[in-house]
Amino acid sequence: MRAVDPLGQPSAPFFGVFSRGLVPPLARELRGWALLAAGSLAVAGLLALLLAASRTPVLGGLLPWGPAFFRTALVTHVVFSFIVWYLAFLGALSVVATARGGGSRAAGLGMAGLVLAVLGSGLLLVPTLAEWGEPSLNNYVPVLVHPLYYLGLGLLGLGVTLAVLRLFANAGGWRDPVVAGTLAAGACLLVAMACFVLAWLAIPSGQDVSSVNERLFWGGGHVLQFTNTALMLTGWHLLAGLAAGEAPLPPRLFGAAMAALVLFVLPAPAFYALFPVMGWEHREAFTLLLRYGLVLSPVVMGLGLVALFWRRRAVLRWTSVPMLALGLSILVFGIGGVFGYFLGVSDTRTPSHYHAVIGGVNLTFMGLMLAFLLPLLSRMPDESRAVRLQFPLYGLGQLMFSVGMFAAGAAGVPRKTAGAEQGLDSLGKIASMAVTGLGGLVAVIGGAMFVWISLRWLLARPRHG
Amino acid sequence: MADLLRTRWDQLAAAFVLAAGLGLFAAMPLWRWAGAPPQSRVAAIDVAEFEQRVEDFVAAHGTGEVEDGLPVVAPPPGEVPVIARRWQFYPALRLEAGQRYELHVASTDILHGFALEGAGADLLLPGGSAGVVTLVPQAPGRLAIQCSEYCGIEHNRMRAWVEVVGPQ
Ligand SMILES: [Cu+2]
Repeated sequence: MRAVDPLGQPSAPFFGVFSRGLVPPLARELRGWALLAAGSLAVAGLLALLLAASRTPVLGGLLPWGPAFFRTALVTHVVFSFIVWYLAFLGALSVVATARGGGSRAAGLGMAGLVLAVLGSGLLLVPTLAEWGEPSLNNYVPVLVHPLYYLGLGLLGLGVTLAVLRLFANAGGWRDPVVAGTLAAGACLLVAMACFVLAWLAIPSGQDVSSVNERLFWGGGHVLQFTNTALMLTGWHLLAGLAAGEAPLPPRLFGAAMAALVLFVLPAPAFYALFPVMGWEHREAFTLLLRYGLVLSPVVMGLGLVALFWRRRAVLRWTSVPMLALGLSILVFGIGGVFGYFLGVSDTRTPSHYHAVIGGVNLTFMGLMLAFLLPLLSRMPDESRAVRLQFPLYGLGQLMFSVGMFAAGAAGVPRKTAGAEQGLDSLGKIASMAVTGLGGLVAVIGGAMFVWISLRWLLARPRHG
Repeated sequence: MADLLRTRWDQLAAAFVLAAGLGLFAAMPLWRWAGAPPQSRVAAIDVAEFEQRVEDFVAAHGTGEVEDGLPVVAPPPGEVPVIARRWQFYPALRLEAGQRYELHVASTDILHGFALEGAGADLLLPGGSAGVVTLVPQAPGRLAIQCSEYCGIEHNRMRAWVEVVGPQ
């Protein structure tokens, strides 16, 4: 059982302050962020069901929405599963890192941040369900072009910013990897918020609304991926501690890997002064920032983890929840990273890359929720078969989905072939699309199990003693 | 071993990661020079005039065929005017391998991108402006064209290809 319980004996030295649990106000805040995280996936899942139903002949007619609802629901589905879910984890880890430093300063800021983030996220649902505003499927943060939608996003961003500022007011030293990782994620978030504001100010009037949205979220959206990466690596550190009782990297090296992420994004706001916001150089600068800034730290951490697994191979329990989450996360994220080097001009290899990378991050967060946050809140899911099964279902489903998409993209490269060969070619395409579809279905089942398990435990009464 | 990791090796590795990060960052302008396709000069145009020019071009070099609702043109080597607009590249091109073409691509409505496989080109075109891409297709086949800047709900379908045929 050592691998499951951060409050239990064997891993207690690794988790230090957590063996005493959280003080009640911080526990309340942490539960709020955890509920927002699990709730955001629940909302994203329900919207996915609705948008599928809106395209189904008979069912679609019974729903109160028209056929245009498909894209409206798609926008909000992406925002909840990609923005709210990740930012809620930043909020949760900011509480954890604050507790780690023993901080009690600016407590009001933390609660205010949580309330604003929940309000903002809820507000996003109003224009969605009322079908207000044109859907815009621009990169990173798709939107419904309606004032309430921008207000919701703004409140969500402001809420998480407040939570980060509270952590900065209490930061207890970079030597602690949990604090270092969360501070780095928070610093990247502040830079991203600065980029959104600078873009808002810099975009000239008279542009088409789709171009405005694209460039409004382009820079900050790229920087947010550094936040997500810092959070995932902090998650890897925590899960490794739970699974192996040891940190994968020495604290100073982990701190350097985090600092390397922050160093890359710090100059990003200057791009708004250097390159016109609607221009080619501006677009290119952020693309390069991501391509060259996001590789080093995960590779260093990945090597540390492989070394750790090797050292502890005799005592690791491979089917424990933290180990399943960590192992599958590294596998799926790593494959996604490799796919990133084979992007085709206009085929399905690009989505295969980001689906795998996102799947890898999600596996870490799911593991953190079930193996770390819930026990920290004295809500310990047993290591039942369902809890354990959820990870291979989601992870291998995502992997099948991405590999199938990659294969379809590779097979779909246009080239002149003889008739017989072309038939074989399309058979390969059909097979890879079938793998993609089956993988997607399996991943959805795993994701739904996660939402059900985590919401059930978060809403149940805590277990004491 | 664990002690060693936590002292000198720890510090050296941390220093290395920071140095590598800084080095990667400093090298970004180099990568931009070496790797990314350069943005060619883009100049303002008279939209109505350019549209007329393309219509005249289609009338002169059209094959009479229609592909995806677009007329197919098979022009001689030299200047080829192309319109980028929501959500198409007009007209469809059939070009000859080994010949040299100068594609004059203009956006006649809003900001679009023009990414052409095989030419290493990626133009960003504000509405009412044009850029030039030189293309010498190497072998028969298809070269993908894609809009590389989000331009509205059908942006993902703003795709086309250049059909490259062998010497006639
Ligand atoms: Cu376009």
